[in-house]
Amino acid sequence: MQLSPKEQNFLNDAKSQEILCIKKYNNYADQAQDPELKQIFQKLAGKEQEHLNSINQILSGQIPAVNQQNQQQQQQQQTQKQASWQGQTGFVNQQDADLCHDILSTEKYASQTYDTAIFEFRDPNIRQVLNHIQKEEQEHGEEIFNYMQSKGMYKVQ
Amino acid sequence: MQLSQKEKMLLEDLQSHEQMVIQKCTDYANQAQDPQLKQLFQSMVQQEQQHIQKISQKLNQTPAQEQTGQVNQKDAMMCQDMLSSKKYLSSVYNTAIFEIQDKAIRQELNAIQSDKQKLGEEIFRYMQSKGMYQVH
Repeated sequence: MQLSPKEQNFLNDAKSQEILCIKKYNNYADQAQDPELKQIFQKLAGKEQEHLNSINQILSGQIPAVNQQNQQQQQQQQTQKQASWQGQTGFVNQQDADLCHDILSTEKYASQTYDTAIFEFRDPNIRQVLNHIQKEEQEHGEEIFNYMQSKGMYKVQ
Repeated sequence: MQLSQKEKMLLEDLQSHEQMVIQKCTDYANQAQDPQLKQLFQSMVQQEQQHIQKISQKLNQTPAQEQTGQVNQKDAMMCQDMLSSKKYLSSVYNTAIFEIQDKAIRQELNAIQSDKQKLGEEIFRYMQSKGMYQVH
């Protein structure tokens, strides 16, 4: 199906958001002081690159395949990591905390961008891909959130 | 200045939202039992009409839009209202998901959010089939 200009607009918004995310994750990976955080940022930069590829594919008229297996593996890794983080509170690295806060806001915004776009597409397959990417943005947020919590950077009232 | 495609699209979006709110406010003003509430809704209608006038001017249109074909305006308004509710709910879930500590709850909320999007899709399809939704 040919994309309407409106649909293209939404995809271009998502695209520029993904490009910004990749740049930020790469920059922040350089700036982060905790090696663990560095690693998370590097990994998520790669994930955002996958999203960008998917959006570019849709813009070129293709429907990208959504890889479920990959996601399951990632989730398992996440839970393992989560367990090993427990109990490491105390000293808060303020510079790392600022990076986390900023990137978490970026992920929230990215997820919201997809949330707006999803409702406007005619092709159900595209909606599905966008929903999948949105879910992954939420999971990135979760990973940052968990890291922040384990380091005492995020206060839950 | 000539409006870009994107600017036009966004303004038209605002226009249709304003239209819905005016319709809704008018209906509610008629239905409200408390005179004070009636008056509140009525004054809101006036405000919204000024808003839509401003937007329409930017789009070089008259506020009263031409009716497209045999669209049932009342039904169209209800559809748009419901679709807006689904969008709003999905966005509320999106905000909540990022703040929850428990992974299982996050997943549950994400599943509900996806359902809202699906329901929105159903309304969207109906509206499209009846010429109620313009995809430019």
